[in-house]
Amino acid sequence: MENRPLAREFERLEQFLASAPRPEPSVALRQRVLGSVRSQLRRQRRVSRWRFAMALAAMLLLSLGPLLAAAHAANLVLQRRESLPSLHEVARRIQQLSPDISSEESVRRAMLIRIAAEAGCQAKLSDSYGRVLGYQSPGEML
Amino acid sequence: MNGAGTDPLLLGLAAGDERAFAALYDRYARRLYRAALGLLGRREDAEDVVQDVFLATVRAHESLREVRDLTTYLFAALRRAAGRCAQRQARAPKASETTAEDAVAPVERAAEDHPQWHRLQQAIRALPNEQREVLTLKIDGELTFAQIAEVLGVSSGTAASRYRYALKKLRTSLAGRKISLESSR
Repeated sequence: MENRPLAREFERLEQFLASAPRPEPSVALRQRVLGSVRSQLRRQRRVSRWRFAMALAAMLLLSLGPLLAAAHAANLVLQRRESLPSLHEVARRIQQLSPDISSEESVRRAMLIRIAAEAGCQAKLSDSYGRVLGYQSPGEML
Repeated sequence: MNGAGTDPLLLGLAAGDERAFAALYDRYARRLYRAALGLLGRREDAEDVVQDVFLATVRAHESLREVRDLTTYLFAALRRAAGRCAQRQARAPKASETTAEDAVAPVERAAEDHPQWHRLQQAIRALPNEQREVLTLKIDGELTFAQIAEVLGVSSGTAASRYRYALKKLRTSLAGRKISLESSR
């Protein structure tokens, strides 16, 4: 019932209203609106970049802590060595030791191990991760 | 119905492309502005509200991929912005209030400064809010009843019914004001 066509008596009124002269938005409004849109987009992009950088830094810090703690718990001494294996070599060894993890995850772990090793920390690595970095036996000084 | 998957404008907006927002302005600004003016009655408020709608759209641009009907989305945002503006108006001192006629820029008065236009505006502004809202969205916003229903959160039948009541009341009011329907100019 409600969606029936308008009665003829209202059609003229509707046409009258639709054809009534109505104000146009000013030319300046376009410039004003698009200017504020541009500023807002730039602000949002800046915020996004900062958020990404902060999240990355937080992830690295959070990952480094447990890794070093695990290294201490294991009984291998890690020392700075002049030439560490390449990132891909470390990742390859990690994947050999743990075939169930993805290649991306092995690269991520390899990066963290290298960061820890290059920081010259005296952490103790697990036997497995020691071998990844070139240890021949637990306790070997590199 | 639109969708980000098929509408290049929506895809551009969702990606935060400035050119897409310019195209959005060119496509919708006139309808949004007229509807805002119909709802609020003041040119400067209508301009502020149109700007608010675009800023809200920018802030939510990533979620625009989920939008099915961009027109409905924009007019729903317009209605919310107009509601906030009306609340600010209600809190503002009465002395600062002006009518739609007072707020029209001089350059546009030539087109609008017709006694019949003023009487028409007065008659429309005398309608109950919910009827004026539907009339404005239909005539100035050029929305369908289904779109009006979605914007207002009512059924299509209710939107159509309010529109008919508005026309009925307006017809009586225009007759009382001796406005002829032969020509609006």
